[in-house]
Amino acid sequence: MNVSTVERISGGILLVASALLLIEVSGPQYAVSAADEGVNPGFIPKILLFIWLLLALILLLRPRGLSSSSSVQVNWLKCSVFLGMTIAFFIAVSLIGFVPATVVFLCFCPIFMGFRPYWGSLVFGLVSTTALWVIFEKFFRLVLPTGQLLG
Amino acid sequence: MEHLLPALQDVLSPVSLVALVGGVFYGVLVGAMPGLGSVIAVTLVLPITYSMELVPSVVLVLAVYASSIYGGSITAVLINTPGTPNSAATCLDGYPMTQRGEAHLALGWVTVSSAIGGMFSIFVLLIAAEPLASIALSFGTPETFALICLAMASIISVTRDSVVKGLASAVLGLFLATIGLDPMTGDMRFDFGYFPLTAGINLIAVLMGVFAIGEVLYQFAVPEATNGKLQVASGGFRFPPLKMWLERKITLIKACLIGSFVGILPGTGGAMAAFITYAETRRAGKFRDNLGKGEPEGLIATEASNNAVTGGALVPTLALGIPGDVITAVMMSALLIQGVTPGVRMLTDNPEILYVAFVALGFANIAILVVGAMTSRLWTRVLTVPRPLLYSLIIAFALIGAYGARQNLFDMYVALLAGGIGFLMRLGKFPTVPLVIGMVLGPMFETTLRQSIILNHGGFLNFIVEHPVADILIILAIGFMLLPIFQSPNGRLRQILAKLNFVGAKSRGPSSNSSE
Repeated sequence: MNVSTVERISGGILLVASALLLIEVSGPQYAVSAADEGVNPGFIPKILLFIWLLLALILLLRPRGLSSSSSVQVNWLKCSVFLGMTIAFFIAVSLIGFVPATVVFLCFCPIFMGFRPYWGSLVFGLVSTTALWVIFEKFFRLVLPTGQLLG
Repeated sequence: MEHLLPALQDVLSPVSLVALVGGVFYGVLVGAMPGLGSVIAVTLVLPITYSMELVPSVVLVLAVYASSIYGGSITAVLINTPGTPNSAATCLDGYPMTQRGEAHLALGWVTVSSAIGGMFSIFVLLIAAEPLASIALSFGTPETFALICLAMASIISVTRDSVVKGLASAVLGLFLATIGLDPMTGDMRFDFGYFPLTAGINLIAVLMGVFAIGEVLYQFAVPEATNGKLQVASGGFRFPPLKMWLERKITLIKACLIGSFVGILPGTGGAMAAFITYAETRRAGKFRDNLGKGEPEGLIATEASNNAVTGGALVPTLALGIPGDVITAVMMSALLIQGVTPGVRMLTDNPEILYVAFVALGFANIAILVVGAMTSRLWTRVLTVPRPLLYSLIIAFALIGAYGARQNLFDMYVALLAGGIGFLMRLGKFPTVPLVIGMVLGPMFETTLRQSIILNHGGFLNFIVEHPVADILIILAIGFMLLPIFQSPNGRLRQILAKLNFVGAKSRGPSSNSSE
């Protein structure tokens, strides 16, 4: 993927986001006026979003010659599957709790990433999850997520 | 100074020494864990201090504070994941050294620079604590705002590819910091009726996402990110040759001075010191052309300065009761647990505490050098762990780090989103560090600007005109922003100026790198 393409996509996202947020910050709850400039909650965000809008336009409209001409090869399939596994892991943690979700994630994620042998990954998952639980729950007294389904 | 010897005696008691050594081991360990860092390290040690005497508890907390900052740099060097924003700039040169197979040497530079920076700050502060405190006190909100602008500009100026991208990243960070409660009026901003957003975006969650999840995703999905580049270092710790130190001595001295001074300013921290020093090194360093490619001068600049902050930050924290950053704020609570309220009264009621703190920090820095040299072989072994196992573990750590700071499930999803954004930013070669620094400095940026305007009766530019120190800092900030345009040999503005015969087209001046 060409870097300049990513720049233009980013510029487009920034433009839309800054425009929408500028509409939001211009709403009555922020009540920006010249009289209360400086103490108004919308004052700084408005400045930042305006700068953002300008930067987005620069990224979108600047000539090709000024954009980066380098490109990056991305394996989108691997990227999507790994991102999907990570999202599933995070959702699983919030639903069934840290320990069961982490055991499954740490056992299967390395296998998906190409780690062999399989049993090594299973041992890694079990040992690492136990170690993380002991270190954080017992030693550091950090309460790890228990999961909304399991209370 | 009459309190120095009794303080030395207190710190060298058996209980305090155990607290010191244990604190350094623990601090390096937690600081080195991707996704944890200084704040969690110091916070988690607080319950232990409940049952301790005053001096050992101060020693323990300070040892954890100094060593966790150093520990964060280890992961910055080895896996390009800083434990804290303080170590973010260390990635710029530490990780390229690791990619060249010089992890042991990079750890040597980092360890020794950290110890020298920390020791220097104590030496300076023992002599100049009171004058420095009075200078810091004379900084009003306009000067602090101008200093933040300088810090932001210096951060953007170190981005190699594009000032526009650096600025966009910094503005994103500043904007994220505005989400949630308005710090001055208490009004809600950008919560869109969704309750978890009312508490704002958690910085640690963003750190976990951008630096841990984003990095893992990038390394896994982009073959060239790791293709044959990462080599496992054979040795653990190598003391950098004295000749190389002498060649970079000016940067070392500058880093120590900048770190000590920045640390003493209320509300600043190691990240600001590291980036200002890095930018200064990029401007005037002897080996500036190699910065970002694995140049030890970059490591000296960032590590000596962010550790020099530790001593400086203690002055406003202990003498004025104003914490320099989040970590010193947590440290203040450790003193409150012991019934000591930091501030002017502490200097009259418990003057020895100030000296105990300085002596403890001095010994902690010596211990960092010893522990760092002894255990660095262990840290370089991080690289020998098969990558699939390491990446999976980093994701699990990132989840814990994001969740642990506020025990909030929403922060996990913030980290996940930040990971995706961090990945896209890497693809588009947007620098990620300005985003994080923007978030760190965002609340102070907003508060100081608005306070300055209010104090000057609503005049936007009045406070700039009436404050010469702020003027100088703002001019320096503008200079830093323009610097990359002029320094880039192929910069558009430089090409135009070259056509007009204002500057040479490709020359870098007489002080270019000797290695050229």
